[in-house]
Amino acid sequence: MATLTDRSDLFPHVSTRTVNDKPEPYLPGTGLAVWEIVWLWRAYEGDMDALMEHFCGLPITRELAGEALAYARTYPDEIDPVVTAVETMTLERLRELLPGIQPFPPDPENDAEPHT
Amino acid sequence: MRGFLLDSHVTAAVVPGVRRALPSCEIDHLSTWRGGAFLHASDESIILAASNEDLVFVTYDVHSVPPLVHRMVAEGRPPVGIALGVPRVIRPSDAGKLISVLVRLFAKPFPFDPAYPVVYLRPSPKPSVKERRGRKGVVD
Repeated sequence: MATLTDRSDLFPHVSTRTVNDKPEPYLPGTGLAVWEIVWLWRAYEGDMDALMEHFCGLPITRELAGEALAYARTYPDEIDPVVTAVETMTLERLRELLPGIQPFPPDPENDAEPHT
Repeated sequence: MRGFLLDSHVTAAVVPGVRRALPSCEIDHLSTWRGGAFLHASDESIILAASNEDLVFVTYDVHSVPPLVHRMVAEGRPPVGIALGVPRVIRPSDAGKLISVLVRLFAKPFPFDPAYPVVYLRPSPKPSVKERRGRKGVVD
């Protein structure tokens, strides 16, 4: 198992913060967690040009994004479950987490779940 | 509400799209808001600061934000508003759909429940014939 020192050698721009009492790898100064980069990278089907265009205005380079993706490949147990949970989030599950959440627009005719 | 603050993972391309449609809407991206200072901040700090400026926080973070917001509500300090994008409903790569629903949210403000001011965003339905006529200035 890699130590924290090993990680900083391999991934010098990835740090860990605490979110909801759990450790979360992230890229300091970008506002982005590693899982967010992986999630968006998947959303763009691995198209790095499109990913970087999505990040326009953010202080993140292609190299930094690549480091985050490499981190996720090295420690999939830390990242993949989060990305999968976000990708597969359903409105039913969201209502369990946030019982008072409401849809917008609220039009009754737009009340079906799918929109996939 | 005065407008929106977009989370860092929301593409900043949404900002000019909303501004074009709604010049009176205050909208900013986390990367530029307050000089980017909040790129270093926790979600809770960001949401509190946005609330202090009467801005609704727009995020797709359905992992970290729901438990945080639920706790804030339970503690009696709800934010001004949270607009959650659900990736399966509005894809994060689809800036056009997000712009459309934010414009609608601002132009016809949804009555956020002050006790639980959280909405999930869905694609706007196509405007009715009456709405389309109204936009064109056509009178029946």
